[in-house]
Amino acid sequence: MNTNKIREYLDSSLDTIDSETLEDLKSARQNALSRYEAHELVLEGHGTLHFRHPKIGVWLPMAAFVLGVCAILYWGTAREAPPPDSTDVDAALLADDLPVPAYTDQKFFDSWLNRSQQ
Amino acid sequence: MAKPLPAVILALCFSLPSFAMAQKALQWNQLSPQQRAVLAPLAQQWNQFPEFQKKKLLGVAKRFPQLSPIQQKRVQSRLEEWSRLTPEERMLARRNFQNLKKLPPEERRAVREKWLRYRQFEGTKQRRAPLPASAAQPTAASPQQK
Repeated sequence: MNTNKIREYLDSSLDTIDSETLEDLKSARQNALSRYEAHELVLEGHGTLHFRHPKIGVWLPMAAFVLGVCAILYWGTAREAPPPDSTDVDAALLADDLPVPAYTDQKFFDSWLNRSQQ
Repeated sequence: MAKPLPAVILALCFSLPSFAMAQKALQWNQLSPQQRAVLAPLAQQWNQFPEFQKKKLLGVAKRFPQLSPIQQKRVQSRLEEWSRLTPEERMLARRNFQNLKKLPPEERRAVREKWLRYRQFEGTKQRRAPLPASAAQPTAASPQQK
């Protein structure tokens, strides 16, 4: 029985329903409505998320936003942070008996040093 | 009552990154006396350095007490030159340093001699290079000296 048929039956016989049944229907509707309000999140059969609670539509995107900001900050910091031993490398390099320009002179390393080692 | 709360949280979310950045920015006057003593040659430039560079330099300051007096002197005399390098140049230096560390100790010791000879060789080459035409040809206003 589809919903149109039910609506038709209800409309046609609305006047014939006695007051006690009407009262029952009314209280059943109130109960259903109060349960409907209490449900925050309903996952419907076809897999679509619907926000039944008025506030969840604000809180959920906001929580996602906060998580996103935290993730950006975390990854940003992790990217910037030097590898564990790199500061040791800097200290050792600066303290080495070979001066800094020797290490930045690629010509010395690529051709001259390799050639003189052979 | 419920409406201002999301707005406040949203505002906090937007201000969070700048707050975090402000927390991370380490100013010269926030350094410990020991850190300031080691990094003294960089006192003027410190506040302009990017945060990752500050972190690396603080790492150097941390290792500093473990170095010998000669090494400490070297570090301090080289800090300014080191900070003037571009990040790419510093990366290249680190890579070359680590490659050199793989050499056996006797070869490693010889590298300094090779560097000195290389510098001498390059200097001689530069002195032998022909002068630019304008400098080589004397003009009427500058007679040749005998």
